Amino acid sequence: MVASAHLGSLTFGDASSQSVGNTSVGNPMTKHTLKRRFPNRFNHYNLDNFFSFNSDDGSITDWNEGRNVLVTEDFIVGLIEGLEEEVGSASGVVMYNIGEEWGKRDAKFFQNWFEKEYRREIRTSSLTFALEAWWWPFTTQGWGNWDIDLSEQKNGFMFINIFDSAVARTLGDVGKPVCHLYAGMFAGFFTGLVKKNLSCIEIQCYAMGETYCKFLLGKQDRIDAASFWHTEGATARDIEKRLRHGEFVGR
Amino acid sequence: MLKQLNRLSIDADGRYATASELQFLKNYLQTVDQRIQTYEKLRDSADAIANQLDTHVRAAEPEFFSTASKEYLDFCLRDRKTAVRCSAAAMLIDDLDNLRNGVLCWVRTIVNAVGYGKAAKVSHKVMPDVMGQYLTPDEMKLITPALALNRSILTDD
Repeated sequence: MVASAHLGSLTFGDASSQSVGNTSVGNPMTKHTLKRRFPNRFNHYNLDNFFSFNSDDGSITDWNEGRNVLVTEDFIVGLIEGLEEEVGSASGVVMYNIGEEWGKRDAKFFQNWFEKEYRREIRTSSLTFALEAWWWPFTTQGWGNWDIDLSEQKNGFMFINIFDSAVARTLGDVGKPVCHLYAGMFAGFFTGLVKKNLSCIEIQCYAMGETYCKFLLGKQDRIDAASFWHTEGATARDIEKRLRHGEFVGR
Repeated sequence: MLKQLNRLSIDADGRYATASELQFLKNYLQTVDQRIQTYEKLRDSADAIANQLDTHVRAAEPEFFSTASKEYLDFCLRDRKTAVRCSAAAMLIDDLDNLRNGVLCWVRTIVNAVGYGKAAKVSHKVMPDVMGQYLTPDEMKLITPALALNRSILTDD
């Protein structure tokens, strides 16, 4: 199992398989062997520490007590292509919506484990620290490293870069953005975190021959403007420049 | 060391290991007493080392620290002690992989997130000099790879 994770698989952590309210950091009943011994350990993000491989029942539990499943790149290809076969060009929207629901749910799940692990509320923590804490489990699960640019947050948008997106890396150069699941998840998570409706669009993708994926997250009018520019052929850099200069289609 | 042992157990499966494959064990065992001694010295001096680092960092970044909360300063001191302990542990078992993958890659994101980059740079730059006050040159040779790894991952140097 460990080997397969190194071979380009990723895991899906199932936060929904448990009641958010019952998730307990330091729970002596946790199935996670290392966590049971060292519940207050913070640096638990390498593969062997974050996952507990329970050979008794064949399950993989992560540090936050979500159940994980290792999947191959074939699974991702099958998921994307199968969906395209079923719903055609709407598959991107479907993936976005799935991601959005996942992100909203994950915002609650994250809030719960963060506050137990760090013994403080998210709103009293450094935002950048909290966001790094949120993404680390995803990094370990194989969803890629990230970099977040909050410099335009007060202007209603921000940029997120994903390096080594599991979806784009798997599909290869297909000439269009493919990380709809990520875009939806960012929209859902940040909507749940800040309690305001936010949307997200991928404006640059590894599957378009770029070196990394770039997402724009923000209020709907910013995303609509970016979507329009993107459709008209604007590059991520063009869109970024226009937004930073305050140019967007107002509602 | 652990990675090499793990690799040996796989590579030599179904046969006896060769002399060259066992060389790393001999090298390690030749240094193990000194590693334990160095580890114990660092353990006993950890608080003093962390406090000395604190003095250096505050002198280099006075504005940053004058505006920081007490809680933040406590975190900084705790993390400095953690850096000493993790480096000592990596030296003890001669395993930089676990230091890199289990600690530093994560710490790097936290350092950037909380804006501690400049202070970290000062801290890791002076750390060899500070530790050198507590260790012999031969002991410093053992801990130097871990300190160099800390510096390369946590700073832009």
